[in-house]
Amino acid sequence: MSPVNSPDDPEWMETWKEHASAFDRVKSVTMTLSEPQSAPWIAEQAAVSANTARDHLRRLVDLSVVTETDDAGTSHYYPDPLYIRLRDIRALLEETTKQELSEQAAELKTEIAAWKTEYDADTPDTLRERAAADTVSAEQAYELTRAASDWELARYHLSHPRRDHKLRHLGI
Amino acid sequence: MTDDRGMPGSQSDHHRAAGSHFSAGSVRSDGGTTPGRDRHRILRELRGELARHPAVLSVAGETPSEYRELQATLDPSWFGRSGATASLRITWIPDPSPGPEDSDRTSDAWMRTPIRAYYTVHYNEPSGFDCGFHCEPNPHIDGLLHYQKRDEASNPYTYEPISFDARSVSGLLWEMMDALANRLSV
Repeated sequence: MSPVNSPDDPEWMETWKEHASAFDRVKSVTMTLSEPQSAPWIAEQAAVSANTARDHLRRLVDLSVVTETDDAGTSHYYPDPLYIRLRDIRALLEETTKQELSEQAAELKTEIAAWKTEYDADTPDTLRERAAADTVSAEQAYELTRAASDWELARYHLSHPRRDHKLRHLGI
Repeated sequence: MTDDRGMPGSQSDHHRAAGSHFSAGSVRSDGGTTPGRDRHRILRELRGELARHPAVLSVAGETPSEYRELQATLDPSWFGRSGATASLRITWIPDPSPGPEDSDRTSDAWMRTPIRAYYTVHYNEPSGFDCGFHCEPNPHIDGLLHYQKRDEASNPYTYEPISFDARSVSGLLWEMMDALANRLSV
C-alpha cells in the first residue's frame, strides 16, 4: 500500500512525493485527464502501485468525484462531469452576488459578440476549422486556437447556472 | 445567450479522436462545451498542486469564476534568488486541435513532450528578469516546447529547445517546477 519508491524515479517525482500524498497524486492525475485512463496508467503517473491506485480510485468513484467506464473489460477512469459542474457552480455562488453574476454574464456576452465581429464567425468551431487551413501560418493558427479556447471557456461559464432564472429556481 | 450555448455534437468531429467514445457524448450532456470546461478544470486542479509546492506563497485563478490562467506569488529565496518577491504565471489550453501538424506546417511540432496541449509556465522578478517554459508555436525553435529567458525587460529573449517526460498534467507541473529551480540556481 505504500508508494512505490523507485531509485529510477526522476527528481521531480521525488519532490512531488515529498509534498503530496499517494491519494492526492492519484486524484490529481485523474482530475487533469483529457481522456479516460486505466488504473495501471494512473498508478504509473502517480508513482503508486496499481492496487493503491485502484483503492483510491474506488473511493473517488464512491464519492462521485470520478466516473468508471468499462473499455474492453478494463476499467477506465475520468473526472465526473456532474461533480465538476456542481463544484464550479458552488464556487461561482460563493464568490459572487446575484448582481455580480448578471454583470459577469453581460461581460461574457459582450466578449462573445466581439469575437463574432472580429473573426466574422458564429462559433469557436469556425475558428478551429480556419486554423487548420494550409494558408494559415503556425502563429496565426495558434492565435485562432487560443481565441477559440477563450470563446469556449466563456460559453461554458455562460451556460453555468443558466444565470438569472436558474438562480431564481434555486431561491437565490 | 441561448444562441451561443454549446451545440450538441458540433465539436465531436474534429475533437480529439482518442477517447472520443467518451468525451464527445457523455461529457457534453452537462450543457457546457467540453474544451471550455476542461481548461477551467485542469487549471483549477493545477492551482491545488501549485499550492502544495514549497516555493509557492499563494496562488489564484484569474478570473476567479473562469480560469484563463493561474497567478502565483513565489518565495524567490527557495530558488536561491536574492530578490524579495517573484511571481509565476501559468496558462493551459488543453485542446490544441487542429494542431500545427494538421496542416503539415510543422511535422515534428510535438516532439520532446508526450502531452498535447498549449501551455506556459513563466517566472518574473521585479528586476526585469523573467524566464519560462512554453509549449506553443514560435518562430525561434523547431517544435513547440522551449525555454526562454531575458535578464532585463529591455533585452531580447534567448530561446532553447527543452524536453519533458511527464505523461500526466500534474506530473508535468512538478517536472516544470523542478526544471525552473534548476534554471534559477545556475
